[in-house]
Amino acid sequence: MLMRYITSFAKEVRHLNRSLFLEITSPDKSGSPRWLLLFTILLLQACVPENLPISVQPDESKIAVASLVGPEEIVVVSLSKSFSALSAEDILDISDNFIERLLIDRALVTLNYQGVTDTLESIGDIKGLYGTQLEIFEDYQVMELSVFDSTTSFSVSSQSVLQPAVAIDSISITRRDTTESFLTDVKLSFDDPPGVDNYYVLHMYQFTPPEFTEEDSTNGGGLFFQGNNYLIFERIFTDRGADENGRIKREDAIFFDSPVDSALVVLTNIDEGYYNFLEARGRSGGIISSLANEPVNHPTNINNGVGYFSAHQPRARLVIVEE
Amino acid sequence: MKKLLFLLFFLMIGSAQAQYTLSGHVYDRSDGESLPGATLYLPEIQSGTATNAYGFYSISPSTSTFRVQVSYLGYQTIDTTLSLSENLTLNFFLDENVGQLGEIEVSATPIELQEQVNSTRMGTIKLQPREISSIPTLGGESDLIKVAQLLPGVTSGNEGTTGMFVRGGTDDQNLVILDDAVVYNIGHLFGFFSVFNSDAIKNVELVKGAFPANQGGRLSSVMDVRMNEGSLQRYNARGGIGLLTSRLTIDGPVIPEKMSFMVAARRTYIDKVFQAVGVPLPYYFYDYNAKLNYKISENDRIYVSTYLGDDVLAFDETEQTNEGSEDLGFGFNLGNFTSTIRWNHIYKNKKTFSNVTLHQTRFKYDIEGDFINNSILIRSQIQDVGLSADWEYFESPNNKFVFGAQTVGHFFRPNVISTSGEISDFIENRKGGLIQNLEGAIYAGNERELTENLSVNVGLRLSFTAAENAFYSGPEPRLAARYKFNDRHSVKASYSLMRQYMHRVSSSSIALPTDLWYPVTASIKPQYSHQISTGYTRIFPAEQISVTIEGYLKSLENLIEYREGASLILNDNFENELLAGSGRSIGLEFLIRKNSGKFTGWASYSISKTNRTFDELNRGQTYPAKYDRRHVASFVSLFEFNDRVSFSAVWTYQSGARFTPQTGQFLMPNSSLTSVELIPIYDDRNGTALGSSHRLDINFILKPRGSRRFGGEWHIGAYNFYNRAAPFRVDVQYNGSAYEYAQQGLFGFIPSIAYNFNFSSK
Repeated sequence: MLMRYITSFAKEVRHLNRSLFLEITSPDKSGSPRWLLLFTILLLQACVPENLPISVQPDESKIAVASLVGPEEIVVVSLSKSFSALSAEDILDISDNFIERLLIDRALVTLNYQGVTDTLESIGDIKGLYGTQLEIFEDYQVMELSVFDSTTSFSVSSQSVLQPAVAIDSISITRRDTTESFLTDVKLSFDDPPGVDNYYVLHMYQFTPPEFTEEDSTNGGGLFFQGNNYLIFERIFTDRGADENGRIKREDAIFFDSPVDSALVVLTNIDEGYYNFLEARGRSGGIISSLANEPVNHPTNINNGVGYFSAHQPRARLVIVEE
Repeated sequence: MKKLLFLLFFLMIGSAQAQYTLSGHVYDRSDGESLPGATLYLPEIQSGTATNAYGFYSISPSTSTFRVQVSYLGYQTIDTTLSLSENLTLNFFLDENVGQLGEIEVSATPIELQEQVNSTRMGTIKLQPREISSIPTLGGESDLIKVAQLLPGVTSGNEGTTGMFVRGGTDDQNLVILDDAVVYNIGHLFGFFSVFNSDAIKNVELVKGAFPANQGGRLSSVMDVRMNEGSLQRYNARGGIGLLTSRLTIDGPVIPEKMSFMVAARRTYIDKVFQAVGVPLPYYFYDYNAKLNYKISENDRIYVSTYLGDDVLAFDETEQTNEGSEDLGFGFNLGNFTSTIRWNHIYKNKKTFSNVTLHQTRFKYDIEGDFINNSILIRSQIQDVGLSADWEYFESPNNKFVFGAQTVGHFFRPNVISTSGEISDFIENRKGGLIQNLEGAIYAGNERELTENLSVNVGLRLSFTAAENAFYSGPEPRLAARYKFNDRHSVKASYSLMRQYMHRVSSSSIALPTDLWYPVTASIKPQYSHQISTGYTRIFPAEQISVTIEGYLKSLENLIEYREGASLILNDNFENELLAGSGRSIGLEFLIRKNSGKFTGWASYSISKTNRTFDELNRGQTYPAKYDRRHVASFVSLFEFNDRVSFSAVWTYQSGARFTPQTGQFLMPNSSLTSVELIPIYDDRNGTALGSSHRLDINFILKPRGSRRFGGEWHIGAYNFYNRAAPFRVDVQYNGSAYEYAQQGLFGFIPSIAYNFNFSSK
């Protein structure tokens, strides 16, 4: 809703600019003020000082790591190369070919845990994705990731502790009685494992993706876009809101982008470091943040690299949306 | 601490018995306005005094017959010999530049220059309205704050804004007071204009170091702005019509020689201009100043003054849809409201002057939005109510005591949120709990000449604040000393400890309406600073030039920064977003100033280094402050060709502000590998300096032939005359073939024209 509001406001500003242009270029019926305005604007525009050059040393390329532990104890790691800030201004400026060049294939990716060494294999034809099925899968097991890219001779390593799985006990999704939006109320609750500080990320997917546009093809299309599991909601939270019985209850109002009759809700218990990484990502987004705030450096647990390696166990619930 | 108290006590009991007392006020003859800071110099004993903030003086010379020179910048000096056989009240009326004074001689002796050598005060600069209105600024609008930014040790923030960073401090460490009431937000239009209408200002004093005991509450500077009192003798009207604003000030007697008034108003008409050509741009700001001055008796006077100013933006539109009409709106309203009542009293001994001030100030902002049956209102407010009592005791020309007590209650109500419609599912309504703090201080100080060459100004301030579940207090010793080699030059040194019991929580360097003032709490500690400064002052009387060199070393503790990416708006618990750290600043400042003659102005240069250390920022490593500008220079010149034509020019140079460049980026799938985002990689915090900037602003003042009662002047000028970018941010841009870093400037060459006028009834 808030984003919709901001979008609407941005539309208003664009409308204002357009009306300004139309006003000053339309036939002058009432005299000179419009043309005076046009003259003034042109004069000021002509006097905008030229930008000055500046020398900033671009960052050297590093290996960027992301990870996912899915059903069936499958660990997926994505590998790509970081690149200069001078390569693109926006993700929309990045072509599929450029992404192809960033993705790292033929890397040696290994996982060490409980005395076992697993070598991750490339997943199908998708470059940059490696996966394996863990032989041993126990809560709090330490998992060490090692990556060596023979093409660039880059190597990185990382370590993460597998957080216990936490399942949602009860959940309901109810569509609001409204014709203006696809607003739903999501209520869920679960038991927070006692004795430790816990951090969570909650995802919700709708199965009917919004209209697939050309722009979406660059938004990881073909690589990460999974076709029918469209992520609509991500929220991180801690166990500080648990009641005296250690039970966490959440109520969220969520907009879906199109009418849906079911949704997939995934709860994942993550470690504090990954929580901080996701929090930084959330803090760095948005127009206000980019204009007014200091830059946000994302924490990393990758030695010699960037990104985050997180070992975790998501638990999913398929939920029918109630009227 | 005990030693300091002992020294103060020793100085107080060690004062000698004086003879008869000469006391009174110094006024401008033309309108009867008092002249604060006017000097009374007794050449035979090479000592003197200055009028206080209300134009009052008291001097008790050791001889009954003596010569006294009374002077004030821009006015003719009175040089006369007086003989006292009893206490005498004598008001001096100074003429502005021209006029005959009968038997009293007019002297060209630059006593103001002498005062600079004699005074123990350091880091203190006074500005006159005449200077402020003559110096060219953005859009041709006179701007007190932007003139202050041209002084050594004062660094500006982004180009064109009213941010002030004094000797390595932060913007919230400047106490800006208007007739003793704190002005929390000194900028209009996101800080591009200051809230001070130059026509309503009487005088300004900026203190950067060697703070006297009666000043406190902020770490880095005190800017004391005084409004005009209004003439007791005639009606005056003055105003101006500029490209962006117009203003009008009227003052005059309510009861001749007893009561006067002053009212001033200013408003932008950007919105009206755009509206006239059919384009909605519903933004404007306005401010009003008003003051009443009542002379109850020769010994008692009351002043009542107020300021009200607001910035208003109100987009409002109704959109027709298939389902009817939808209201769309967005806007904000932010502003200050201050009011002050002051009572001056002169005691029977004619040596003691007191001032009791009751003041209140309020700063609030409202942000409102409406969208399809939804609305949101975000409000934050700070309100102060304060009472202070200050005494000055003029024991002898060489010995003055000050003491007093100050208290103020702060009432904070940050982040009140009211929503309706579906948006209330996402943003909770919040009352924004009321936070109350009581802040206070008692102080005493003594300024005296210990020997013919050595003067000291010693003071002690004990300050405290009572917050919820927390009480903080501490001493603030002040010490300043001057050693005079001869009438031409002296060296000075000072030490100040300052404490500050509130912070401004700002998410950026520009004055966003979302900036919050926030008090100390149990977890947010008071800021404090130590500042040591030394200086050398030399005057050249024949050329009427003064040269000042000052060096300082300043440490700042318990500074506040916000966590990277902290969100303050809609955040009801932003204490968790704040981090505490420290800062250091070292600098050397040069100022050459010529205040009289056809050619006036100053040249200033500062070299400084300022850094910050926060455990949770920049991996705990010390980093440069954002406005750590290594070199800053200003050349300000005003030249009067003749009575009708004058020219002023300002050339400024400053090293670039620091910034954190984005050096790399990487693709990061989301935590379920279903989409991908671009994640930026940044260099060390403030690790790179923007390019240096320099700029020339010019202004011609043309005065058509007027009459004795009416005068006008045209100001024709240009900002950024040679159109050079002053970098304020670095962006990655596409130049047609590749991406490159580019420093963007905000304002280019901007011509301006304004007409100012004044009218007098006599």
